[in-house]
Amino acid sequence: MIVIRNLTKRFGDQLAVDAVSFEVGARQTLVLLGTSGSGKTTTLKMINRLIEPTDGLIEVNGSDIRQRRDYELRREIGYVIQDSGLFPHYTIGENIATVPQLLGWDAPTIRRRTDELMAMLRLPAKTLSQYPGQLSGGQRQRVGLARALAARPTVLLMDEPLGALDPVTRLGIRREFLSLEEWQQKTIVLVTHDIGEAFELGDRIGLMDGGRLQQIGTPKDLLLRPANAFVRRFFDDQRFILQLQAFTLADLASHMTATPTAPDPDSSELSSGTSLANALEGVARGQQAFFRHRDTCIRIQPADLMAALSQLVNGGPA
Amino acid sequence: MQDFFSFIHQQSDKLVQQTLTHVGLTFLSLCLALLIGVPLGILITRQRRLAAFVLGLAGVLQTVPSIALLGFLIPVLGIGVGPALVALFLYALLPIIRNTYVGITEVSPTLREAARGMGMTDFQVLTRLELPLALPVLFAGIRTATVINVGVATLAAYVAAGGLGEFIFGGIALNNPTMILAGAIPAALLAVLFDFLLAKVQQFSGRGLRRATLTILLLAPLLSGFYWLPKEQQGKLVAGFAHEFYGRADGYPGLVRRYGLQITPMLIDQNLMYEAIHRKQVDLISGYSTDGRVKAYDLRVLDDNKQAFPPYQAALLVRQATLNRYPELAPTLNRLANRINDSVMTELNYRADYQHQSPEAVARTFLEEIHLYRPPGTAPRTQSITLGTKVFTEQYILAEILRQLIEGHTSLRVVAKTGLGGTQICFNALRTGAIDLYPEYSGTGLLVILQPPPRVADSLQARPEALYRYVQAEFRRRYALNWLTPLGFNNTYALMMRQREARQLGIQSITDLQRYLTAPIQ
Repeated sequence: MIVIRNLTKRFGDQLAVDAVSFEVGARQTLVLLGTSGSGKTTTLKMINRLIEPTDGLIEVNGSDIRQRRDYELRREIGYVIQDSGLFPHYTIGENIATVPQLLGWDAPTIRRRTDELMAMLRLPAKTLSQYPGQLSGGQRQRVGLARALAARPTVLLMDEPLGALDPVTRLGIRREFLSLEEWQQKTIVLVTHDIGEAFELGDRIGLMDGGRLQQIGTPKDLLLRPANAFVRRFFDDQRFILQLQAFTLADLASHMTATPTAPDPDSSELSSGTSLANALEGVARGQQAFFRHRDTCIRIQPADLMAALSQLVNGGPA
Repeated sequence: MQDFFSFIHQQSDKLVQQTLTHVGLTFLSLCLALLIGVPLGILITRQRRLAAFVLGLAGVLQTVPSIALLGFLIPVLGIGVGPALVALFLYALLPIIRNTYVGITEVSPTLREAARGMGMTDFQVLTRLELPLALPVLFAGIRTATVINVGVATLAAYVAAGGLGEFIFGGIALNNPTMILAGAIPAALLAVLFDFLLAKVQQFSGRGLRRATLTILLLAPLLSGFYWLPKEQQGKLVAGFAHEFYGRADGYPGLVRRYGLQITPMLIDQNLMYEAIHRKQVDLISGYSTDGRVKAYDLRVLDDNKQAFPPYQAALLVRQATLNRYPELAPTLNRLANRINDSVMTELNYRADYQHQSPEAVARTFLEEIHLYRPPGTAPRTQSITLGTKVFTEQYILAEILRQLIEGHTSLRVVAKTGLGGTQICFNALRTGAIDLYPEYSGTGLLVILQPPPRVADSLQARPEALYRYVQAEFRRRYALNWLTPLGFNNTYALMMRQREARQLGIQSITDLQRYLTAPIQ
């Protein structure tokens, strides 16, 4: 649980973060999205006191962070940075054990936790005694996450965690992280400039520009109800793909007509929470599919979906 | 080559001793430099404004020539291990501070942020991240400092702190290349060895680096301890002898032969011996009988009652060709014959060395006192003669006396080439005609230049007159060089003690000294 009120940071004359306020509920992921210089990283680093705010309030798990010693606070908050920031003179095992060591865990406990994380992130056991230079980029990123998770923090801060990876590896690791149970249990603030990443990882997205939070909301909110022209323009390039990712079959149900007859026995049923992208992928292979909405069955046909989507985003009749 | 190995073989005890001392000095100073330099290097990464100042200061210290640095330190720290250690320490400081600073500042800011973000305190960031990552650079600094120090530590012998410089200085003083090499080669090998080992250490990484660091941290103080290994028990008196005196046949070995004296001295630069005895750091020194400091520091010259030291009567050594060309020269120069006795020369040296009068002023006063001073004429001087001297006060004063005398009494112009390294250099300059005359000492002419069979030398040793005549005749015959009538003083080796102590112990002569040293302790 993170509460931020009126957070402001000045560097000399320059206003880097301007009166930003938001909350991140327990086990929620907030993605701070924006171009470089938008103030998103500065905002993130104020949460673990790597940067001290000029003004405003930050509470983590119910207490004002200014009341804490900075290093004690940081040991309770997982921190992942771009290109992993692994210590090159420590082995992978030592890197993962960094925070537990600082907290004074005993050796067997550290050992057990390390093994657990290695298995969870599918890192081969032999890498334990290797050095970061000997690993691939994807493996390093996994170790970076393992290091952040090691002491079981409730809050994770991530600064462009996948920024240094190639697009393919990036996608794979993103999915992998999302599917982790431990990931799902964390309260996460993640900074990125990659819109697709923001849409995939964020429960909510805070779009920043010029030090101000332009809009904060779910991906759907940002697409359907942009707060201003900047927000609207920001997604223009990828709008269609984002819509396919952000909306589910259930979102379109009210714009589609129910199939009167019972579904064909050959056709498969998709859950109403399936994203449009996945649903289209299914029917593109020529398969018959339907989903249930309330008490009705709705057949999934690409043309119908496109029409319904168009109505949804353009505010047509429901 | 044969000489070299037989020398090494004969002197192996001393060589081992000097090598241990040398290694000890090098690492002792290195440890000090690490103790001070590493924290200072860390401090200036935290206080960047200080960095330029601290690095600049250490850089300036680095550029001070080593001999000069010792010169500055001796008045403050006296002689012995103190100034040597401080000088070495100051030289090692810059590479250590600079490389600590550079090593730490080169740590990537991302890593530093990651470490802080993990919850490391500033101290933990330093010890767990910055220092380990700075180690390879720091080792490069340690390597530089070590190699510099192995080299500079040879100068420790200059201030009686021992080390391989003892052979080197001794060899230079005695013009003995074998002896120089016996010091220089081991010193070079040490430098190469340490350089090689530390280069190896630099290549380690991760755990290997941590292990290597630990090894070095343990090894450096251990190697420093070598300095104390070769210490020998001191006798009743601490002796400080010049390197040349200790090695030269007519110096210490002569004393052993004639008196059976057995002393283990500290070896020290001859110009610092007097300071050392004055400050009671040593009790007995090998000086020169006419040195001004004998008077200044109230020293007693022990009577050489068995004539262990050959006579060194000062006289002018002139090219015959020059005498022939300028007939007025010989009579002018001979006006000085027998005008300067031991105590006069000591007094003149005292005025220059201790009262800091210029040689020119000393010479003028002296010539006025003996009524030989004449202001130089204003007639144009078309012809000139060149005068040489060795590198010490007495020779500079004599050169001034000669210049003023010649220019006052003849129409010759005098060109002075002062400070020619040693006997060999002066003598060769004279033979080739680069100089026309210089003041020389009969014993030096005999032992250094003529080098007669030992039988001849021994027979002449106790008879100054015969020795002078022999040298004069041989020089004329062999080299067409002329020894003029002696000036009157005998600047020979002498053992000296503080006047007060000598009186208390009742020591007048070297025989007395020998009796005192061998008497059982009450």
